[in-house]
Amino acid sequence: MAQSLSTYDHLRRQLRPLGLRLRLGDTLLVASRSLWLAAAATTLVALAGRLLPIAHLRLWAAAPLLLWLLGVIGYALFRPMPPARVARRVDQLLGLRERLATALELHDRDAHDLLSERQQEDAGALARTLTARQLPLRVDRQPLLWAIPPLILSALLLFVLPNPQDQVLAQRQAVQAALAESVDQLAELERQIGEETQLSAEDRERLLKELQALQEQLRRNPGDPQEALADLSAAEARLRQNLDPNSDARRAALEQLARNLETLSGRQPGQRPDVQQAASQLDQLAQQLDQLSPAERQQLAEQLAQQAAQTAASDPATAQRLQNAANALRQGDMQQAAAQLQQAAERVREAQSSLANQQRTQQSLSELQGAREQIAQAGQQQGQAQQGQGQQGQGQQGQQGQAQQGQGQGQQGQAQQGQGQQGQGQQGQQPSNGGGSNAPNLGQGQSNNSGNVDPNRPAGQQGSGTGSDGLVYQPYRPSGQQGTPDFVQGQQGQGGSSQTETGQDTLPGASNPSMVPYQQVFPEYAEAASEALDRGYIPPHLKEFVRDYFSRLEPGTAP
Amino acid sequence: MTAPLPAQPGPGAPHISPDEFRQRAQLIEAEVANVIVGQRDLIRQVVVTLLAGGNALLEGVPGLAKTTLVRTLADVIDCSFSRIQFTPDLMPADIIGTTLISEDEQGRKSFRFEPGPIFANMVLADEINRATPKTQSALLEAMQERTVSVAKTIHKLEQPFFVLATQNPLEMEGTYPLPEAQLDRFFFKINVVFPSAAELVEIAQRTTGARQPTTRHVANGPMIIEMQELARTVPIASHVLAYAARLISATHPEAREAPAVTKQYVRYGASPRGMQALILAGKILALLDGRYNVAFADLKAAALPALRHRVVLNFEAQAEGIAPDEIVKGVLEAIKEE
Repeated sequence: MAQSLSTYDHLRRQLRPLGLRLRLGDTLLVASRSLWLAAAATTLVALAGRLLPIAHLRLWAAAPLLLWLLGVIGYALFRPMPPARVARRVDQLLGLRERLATALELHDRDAHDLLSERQQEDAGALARTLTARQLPLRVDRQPLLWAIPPLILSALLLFVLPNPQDQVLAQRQAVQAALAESVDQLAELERQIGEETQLSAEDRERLLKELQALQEQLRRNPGDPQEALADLSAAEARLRQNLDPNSDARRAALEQLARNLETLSGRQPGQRPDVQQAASQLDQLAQQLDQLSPAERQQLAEQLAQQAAQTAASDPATAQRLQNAANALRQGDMQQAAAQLQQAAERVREAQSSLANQQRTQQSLSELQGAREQIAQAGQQQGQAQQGQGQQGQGQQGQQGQAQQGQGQGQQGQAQQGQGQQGQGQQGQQPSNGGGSNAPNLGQGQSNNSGNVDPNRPAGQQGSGTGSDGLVYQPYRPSGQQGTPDFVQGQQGQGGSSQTETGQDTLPGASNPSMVPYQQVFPEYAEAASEALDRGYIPPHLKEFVRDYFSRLEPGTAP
Repeated sequence: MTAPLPAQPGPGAPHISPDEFRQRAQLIEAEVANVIVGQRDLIRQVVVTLLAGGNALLEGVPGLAKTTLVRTLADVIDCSFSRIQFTPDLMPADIIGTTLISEDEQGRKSFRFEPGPIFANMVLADEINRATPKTQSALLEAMQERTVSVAKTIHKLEQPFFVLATQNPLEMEGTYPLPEAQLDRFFFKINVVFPSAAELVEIAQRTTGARQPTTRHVANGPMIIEMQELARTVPIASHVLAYAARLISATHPEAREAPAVTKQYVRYGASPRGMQALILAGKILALLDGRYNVAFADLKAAALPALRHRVVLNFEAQAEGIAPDEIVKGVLEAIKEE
């Protein structure tokens, strides 16, 4: 028994180096047989990297080889190789006629008959003569040769031949940087909106939600400018749905109201009347009605009526209440007049909140537009980089051209607005509608653009600035006030139709308030220009020029 | 002449050592080879059959020293020998013996069993396929059970008992091919090949000269029995055993591991007796090779004689002249050593 055990132990000890050698040999064999697969995969990745922009291409190309190496190492380390299997393999490889495997099994069976013991002794004696070097290390040369061409090809593709996709990747990185910058700007805007107190909770929530969703979309974008532009356009369209086209008119009317109220209260109105004080001044006025003399009441009634007339287009409800208050004052019904003034004050507060919302929405749109310009610039570079690369590059260039076409259409719309159609013109800010082949789109829109200059006036006259306090013709208001009916004939294309949009102008003839004092008109334009400068509508190199131009137009400035 | 014999073994475990086994078997082969020229494989397979305690079926044309081989072997192992020439009119009683009425000195008559030629250590059933199936079947009990039943009396045959049957593959007219059940009882079916030209010269020199080759006793019956017992104790590893089982399964056309040649040409595969023969022969071959365990090579060496008569070919194989040896070789090629 002791002899058998020692023989067995010796046999096990002898099998260890043999097992290691077998493991090494098997690993070499597997490695030689599988290398061509990894090499082929590497070549495929390298080839794909020349057709598609793949970031870190060399790393990806090396991945199959690394995986292969890991697999080979794992095979060498973790492949189970129990002694019985080692014994069988050694028996087979060295022609030992199953001596070693039988001896191990006999020991496990605890067999002690004559032949079993003789067999184990025989196997032990044989094992002492064995060395690991007797086991051959075999490499399958044929599959190894198969691996050489793809490896050489991969090296050429990755390290020698220039890859046209490298330029595309660089541009994509630029797009990603632009996206990141846009996301940061949107985050800052989100923070500002979060701190905005004048916004209603509902409006704030809606704006924040929209901005957060857009940030998330931009973060997920892998650098595709088309997708980013589409996301931005979609977000812009959603925001624009919430944009009130009369907001500028309402703001102007509100400012005018504030200015008049400041005058009524005996203060000198500034260039930028305090709109937030208008509601409280109305409340205050309602409380002071009883203290007024009949003549003052009559004068106040006239002023309120005039204010109602000016406000009617932009805010009919407030105008109606002001008119009611004027009527009540004329009739001597102080209680009714005070009630109407308080209701007007409430309406003014609502309008202030709405205007704040509109302002933030405009600001958001401005940010989106800025982001779009940045991404479009990066995408344009990408498109140019791909221009020489076949059909794909041509497609992107074409899309870029389409975007530019849409932008051109928008400029055209602005020009028409400036040509005296009293604030109503073609929709000009949707680049996707370029070409004008869709008739309903052509005739529907109302511009919300805040025009900066009066294009009807000669440039010299504008540049010099009259400084006159007389009446001036105001064909277009920065606030986008509604005007006369406008008809735009759409092109009757396939499936298209034309549509007539009727305006809501209730101020015909000589009483049309388009003839207003220059002093009153100028602040609106100056404010619109200031906002445009702040929001980045104006190209940076022209900002100083615009600022200088409007400073010359200020009332009282010498020509 | 008698070679020095080892001490008589006692009851129980075999006293003969593996080395003595090999030496004694080599002596037997050498002595037989003194008379039989060439035919090394034939002699080896006959000795293996003897040491396995089985029976062999020799198939070859007349004049290839089949009878001489058996007679010489019986002489070498110092055992009784009888030869039965099978003819169509041979009756079972002619083989196993008959009951006779005998009269003693007092004149009383009684039945007495007169043993037939089957009662010998070595029986040569010459041209066994010429006897009728009834007579052929008389050998069945003796070959399998080592007993003979006559008139409700079971007579045990003396050990060792070894039947060596011959048949002529050419003269098939007027013969009765052995049924599968009887073929299965033969441990080996050995093909006796025609000697080469050099061997023919040697045969001529040995048999036509004035001096006849002589043999000596190098073993005896008890020694053969002991060798048979020792052979059965040779260990075999489980994976080698499994290989033998796979070989047998692969001769069956419906088996999963059956190669195409089996599926195409075999009607019935080898029986479990085939596997027993394969393993037992492998054990003896291992001892003869100086090893103490069965190797794949031993099973392969024993596969052809152990399986060729146990594979029943279908009509397609017979029509195409496919020999069972081709099936067995196909199986050996198809089944991997694992």
